[in-house]
Amino acid sequence: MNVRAGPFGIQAWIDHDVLDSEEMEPILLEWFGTTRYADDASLRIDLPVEIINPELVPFRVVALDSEKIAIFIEENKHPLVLLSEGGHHAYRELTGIMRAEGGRHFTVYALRNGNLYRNTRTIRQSAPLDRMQWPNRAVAQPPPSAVLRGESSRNGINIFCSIRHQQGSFPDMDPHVRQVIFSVNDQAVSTLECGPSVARNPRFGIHLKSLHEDDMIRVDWSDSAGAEGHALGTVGLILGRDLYREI
Amino acid sequence: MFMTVIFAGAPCIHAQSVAIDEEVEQFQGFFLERFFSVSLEEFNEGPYSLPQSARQAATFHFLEQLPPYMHDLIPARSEWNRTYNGVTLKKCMAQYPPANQFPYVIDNQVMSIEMAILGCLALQDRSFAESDSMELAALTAVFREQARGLANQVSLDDEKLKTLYREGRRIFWARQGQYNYSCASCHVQNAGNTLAGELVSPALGHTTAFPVYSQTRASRAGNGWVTLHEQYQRCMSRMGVVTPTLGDQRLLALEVFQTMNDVSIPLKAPQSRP
Repeated sequence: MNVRAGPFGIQAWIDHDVLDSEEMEPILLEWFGTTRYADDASLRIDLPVEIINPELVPFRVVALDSEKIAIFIEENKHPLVLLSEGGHHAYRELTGIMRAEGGRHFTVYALRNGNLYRNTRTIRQSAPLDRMQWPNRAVAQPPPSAVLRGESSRNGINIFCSIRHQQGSFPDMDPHVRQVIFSVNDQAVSTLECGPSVARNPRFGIHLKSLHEDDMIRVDWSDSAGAEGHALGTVGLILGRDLYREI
Repeated sequence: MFMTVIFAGAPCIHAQSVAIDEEVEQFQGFFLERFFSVSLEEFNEGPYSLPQSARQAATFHFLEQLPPYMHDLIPARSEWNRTYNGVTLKKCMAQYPPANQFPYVIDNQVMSIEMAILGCLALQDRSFAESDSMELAALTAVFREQARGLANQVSLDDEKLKTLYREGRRIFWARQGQYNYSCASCHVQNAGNTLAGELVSPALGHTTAFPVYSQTRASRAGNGWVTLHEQYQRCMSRMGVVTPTLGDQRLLALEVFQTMNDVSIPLKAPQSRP
């Protein structure tokens, strides 16, 4: 455990050789057991044609019949965005938000029947959005929290989870969201391992089928400093939830 | 058409001879003609209303599925229903019409939503240290979200509002500041064009989206709410103008001018911005 006094007080984090690696190969070896891959255009990657804020790049990845998925931005100092395993094998869909840091290539690896496949897309960036910076104010950082929402999609449900986790500015020194586990009725259906290139205040989404209104969805998250939290709700509650006028 | 609108807005030419509802019609007509694929009701997403923003709007719509401001809006909703000094904000604000009818004239005074909430906070025997506090912006967001989807119905007939409308119109069209820009230089003449890589929003529909939640600001300051008046201040600062302080009558006048031009556009507040 490392401890350092940062701009928002004392911070602590755990080193993880693989997740914090600046090299691609050890990550591929640990997670897929191989570094050999074949290019496969059927791994679908949706990115905005042009991103406006490099710290906030939404993505959607669809990888059919995959056992594991890994997402990288190869030019970033810490290239790993997230690794995903378990969950819905037949139709694997993942959404999230990453931090591009000037990296240009968004790469997805997927393990399918023991073979590793890869697809990549270029991130096109417009000029930096906020030339006039917001002034820093002496506002206490709000506590982390998580919100859930579901949305019907293709005979299933997209479950979104937004996590407020915004500690500091530098991916090197600040804790980031490390692990997110989606569970249905206390049974884990998808585990996401996040690297330092995941965005602040990240949002994750998975696609699930065969859910009933009474099923309890729970999302547990923990960060690299050991903080953790969760959000939960029944499918009936979070599905098609009208986010407004709830009072 | 373009020149017509510019002159219609110039107070020295038309003075008070043209009825305000005609001016509003001309103002809206200009944008409806310029962005002919966008209907009036769709002008409530700021720059993302415009067809040329489709690339950036993808990010916006992605965020809006589960917007990042929910983390701040949910605690503010609890605050809205909490009793202080025997009064809840919900009960106190019930004396006012819904948010789509603000700025509202009561007791011969033009009230913005923030002013109404500050009045209620005084009844609750508490106040925020700064009128630009983000807690106030979050409470404004709670009030505005209850009118989400309702068409803007601000009165065009009230004399007090008309006076402020004329003052706001003067500020909107007058060139000012170090770079000699007016609000219209960007938001009318260059609406839909890019300025330093950013898409310039059309002046029509501005008021329906605020308060907005800036992710960038949230990263810097912990809380990302930006009220309409703060955005006016930011714009003015970019123009090299000495910015009026919050609560200044000029900011209220600009709000009245813009809100009256946004009449019959449905509210869609709050919204997120990257």
